[in-house]
Amino acid sequence: MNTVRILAVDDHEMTALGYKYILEDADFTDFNVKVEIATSFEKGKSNIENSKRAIPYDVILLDIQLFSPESKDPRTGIDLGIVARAEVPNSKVVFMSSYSDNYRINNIFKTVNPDGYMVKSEIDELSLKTMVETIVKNSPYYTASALSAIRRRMSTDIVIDEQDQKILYHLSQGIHTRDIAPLIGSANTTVEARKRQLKALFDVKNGNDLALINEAKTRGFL
Amino acid sequence: MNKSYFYIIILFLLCLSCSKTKPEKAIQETPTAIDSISVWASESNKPEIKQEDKLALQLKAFNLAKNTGNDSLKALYFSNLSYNTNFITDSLLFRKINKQAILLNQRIKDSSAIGNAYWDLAFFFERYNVKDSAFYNYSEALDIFNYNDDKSSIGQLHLNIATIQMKIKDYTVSEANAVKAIEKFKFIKDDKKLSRGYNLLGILLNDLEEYDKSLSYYKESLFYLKKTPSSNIEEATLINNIGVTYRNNEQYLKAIENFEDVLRTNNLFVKNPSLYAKALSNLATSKLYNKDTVDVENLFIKAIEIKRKENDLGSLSSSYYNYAEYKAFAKDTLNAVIKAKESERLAYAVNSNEQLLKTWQYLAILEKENATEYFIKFTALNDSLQREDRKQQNKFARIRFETDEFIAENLELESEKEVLSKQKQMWIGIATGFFLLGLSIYIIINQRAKNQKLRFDQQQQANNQEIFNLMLTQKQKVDEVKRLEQKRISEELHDGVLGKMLGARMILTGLNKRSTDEAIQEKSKAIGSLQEIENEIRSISHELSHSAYQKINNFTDSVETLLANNKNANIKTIFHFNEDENWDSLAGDIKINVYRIIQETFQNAIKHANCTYFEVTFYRNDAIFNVIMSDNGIGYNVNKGKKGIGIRNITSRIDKLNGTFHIDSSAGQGTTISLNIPVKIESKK
Repeated sequence: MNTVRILAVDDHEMTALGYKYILEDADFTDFNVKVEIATSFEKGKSNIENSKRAIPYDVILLDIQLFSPESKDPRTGIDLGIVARAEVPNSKVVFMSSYSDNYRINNIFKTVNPDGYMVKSEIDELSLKTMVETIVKNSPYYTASALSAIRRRMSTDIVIDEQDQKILYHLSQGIHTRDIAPLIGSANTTVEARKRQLKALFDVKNGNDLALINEAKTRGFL
Repeated sequence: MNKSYFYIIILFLLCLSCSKTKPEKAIQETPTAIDSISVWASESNKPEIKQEDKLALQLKAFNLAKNTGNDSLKALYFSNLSYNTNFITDSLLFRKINKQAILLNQRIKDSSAIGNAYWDLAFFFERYNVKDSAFYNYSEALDIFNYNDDKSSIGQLHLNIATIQMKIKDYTVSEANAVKAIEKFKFIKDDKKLSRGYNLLGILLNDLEEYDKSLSYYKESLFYLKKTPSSNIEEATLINNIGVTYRNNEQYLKAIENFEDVLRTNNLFVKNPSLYAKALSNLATSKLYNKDTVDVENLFIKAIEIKRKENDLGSLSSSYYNYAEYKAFAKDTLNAVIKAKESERLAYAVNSNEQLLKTWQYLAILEKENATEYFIKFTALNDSLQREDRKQQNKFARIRFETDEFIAENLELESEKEVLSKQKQMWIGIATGFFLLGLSIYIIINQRAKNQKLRFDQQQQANNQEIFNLMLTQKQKVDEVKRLEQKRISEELHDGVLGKMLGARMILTGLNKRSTDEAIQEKSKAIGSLQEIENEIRSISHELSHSAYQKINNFTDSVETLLANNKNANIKTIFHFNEDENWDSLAGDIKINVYRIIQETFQNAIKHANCTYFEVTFYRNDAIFNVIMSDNGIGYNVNKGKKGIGIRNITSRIDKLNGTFHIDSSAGQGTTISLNIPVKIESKK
């Protein structure tokens, strides 16, 4: 009987423990599951790095938000994913996040290209089990809302670059246009010009920013 | 020689009376005084007035004129008195009046009045037979009227001068003047004066023994005279003159015809017995010369009778002479001599030299034994007369020359005047230049002050804009904080609550089927975690509701920020305001100006007051927004020294808001400034 070794990284210990209890109690047909938990970014990182020298994990479950919002630490699970991809390329990476927005998901797909993405609200006993079974078979696994986000994005032929993507994202966050410029490292006029371009692209005729954002959302850019 | 000198004397008198037909003066302005003068004048002319009374009236008039205060009025009175020569019979008084008239009119620069005064004086001299002075004053008057271009007066004066010149036998010059007079009269188309001018020419040429010419002038004179509504006396005089000329030209029949014409004139004997007598005498003489002695003696006797009655001695002398001629013609030499002697006596009496000469000449023929004596007398008188005439002529020439010199002098003066006026113009130019310079300086300064005010306003506007921006930024900051808070709550919900709930769910799910002690412990932990989540949600909810109810007050926030941002750590700032009041609803200009005043006052307090404490209080009662700013600094004497720019700024700002302010300070007691501003609540929120 094989043992599938899983590392669950989540700053909420209970969540990580929950994964552990559910997965270890689950009945898999041809393998056992052993879950290790790491409750912080540092711990997760060292576990991943250590696994390189010993036995790499089969699956690494990563939460994106690993620091409390107050700590203002910019590091996230995405960084761990990048580390994992670099250190242990054979380990499968699955993100377990409460983020379900297109922007975030697509961004993760660009940078880490994970093997799975689960939106936390969609996680339950069954989905966890299915996820492990699917991943182990080298297939990607996405929960429904993650999948829809990816699909929407793929169904449109509009191509926008990273800067436009960022502008859209910041706008959706309610940031003023003139405050976006320093965040993306360009001039104010550039932001304005790009915004105009985006509006034309998304066919937002009488366009305030809200209309643009809504359109971007339905088309899977946010 | 001319035998009818006496006729000419009549003509002279005629001319003299003409000379008083001067242009009327404007006397309406002082009707009463002028009236009284003319009333007195007419009164004094009444025959029943005694000589003393006449003199009293004259003096009265003189005093009235003398005591007049107004210069022009005084001048007018004196001119008027001077003109009334008939009235002023006292020659000294007249001279005085005339002198005054000239002086006063010179003072008020009334040139025509001056001319008239000279004219009056000349007339006065002429009356007293002082020919040279008369001539001189006529010349003076003529110059003045020439300058004024008063054609009527010029003509009349030429005529008068010509008359005087004729008297001294300066015929050519006299003729020239008469011609000049006629030119002027022709120009103004004055028929009566033309007639007189031609009459004078006729007399002149008669004297020059150019009878044809003389006759033609007389005819001309008659022509013009007939064009005027003249009396037949004048006409008769003229016809008498014509008759004399005919007789002199030895055309006795024509002469007789004319004299008879004269005698036929209506009522002549009543109206002008002296002329009638002359005509009679002339007729008799003409008949005598024509060798027609019928009734001649009667005519002579009649003429002499009338003349004696009229006391016309000059003319009588002439008649006696002619009567003597008649007696001689009748071979009555004795009577002839008697009549001739009578003529001589009368000529002596009236001082008629011509007649005297004629008579002596005739007596020399009549009394052959005394002829030498008469001849010597004749020669002596004739020579002296000629000398006298020549002297007079020379004198006249000199006067004329002097007048010319005077004119030249005047011209010189005029050119001097021109220089003076040029200088005056220059000064006026300079003065105008200075005035303009001053004006432009004033305008520039004024403009500069205006510009300064404009700049000041602009500066204030800019400051206001700055504060507006500041408040806007404040609002943005608040919005940003709001947004961040929203984000924080959202993130707290998302990450904290969601994560914990997920954890609890995971644990409970994972341990659902286990019932080991360990599992039960874990489950109870998860349940505890759910309780935590409960609390967390409650607290988030509280925070939300708190932030929803909390007023965000930009205006007070701005002021608070202003006070908090002071760099001097020693100064403690306190800001009191009622949080329930909606300070943001104050009108924008109130907020901006109050903010600015607080800023200014705070700066002053930091810089100058040396205070450790600065307090701002807002309160509102009814429609007045009160701001009290106080510090505990050194203070200053409010009444002393001039207002600083700070106070002026406050004044200007408060004025703009229709508010008032009060500064309460004294040395060592700190400073308190209170503002009272009427509130106008903005209608829109």
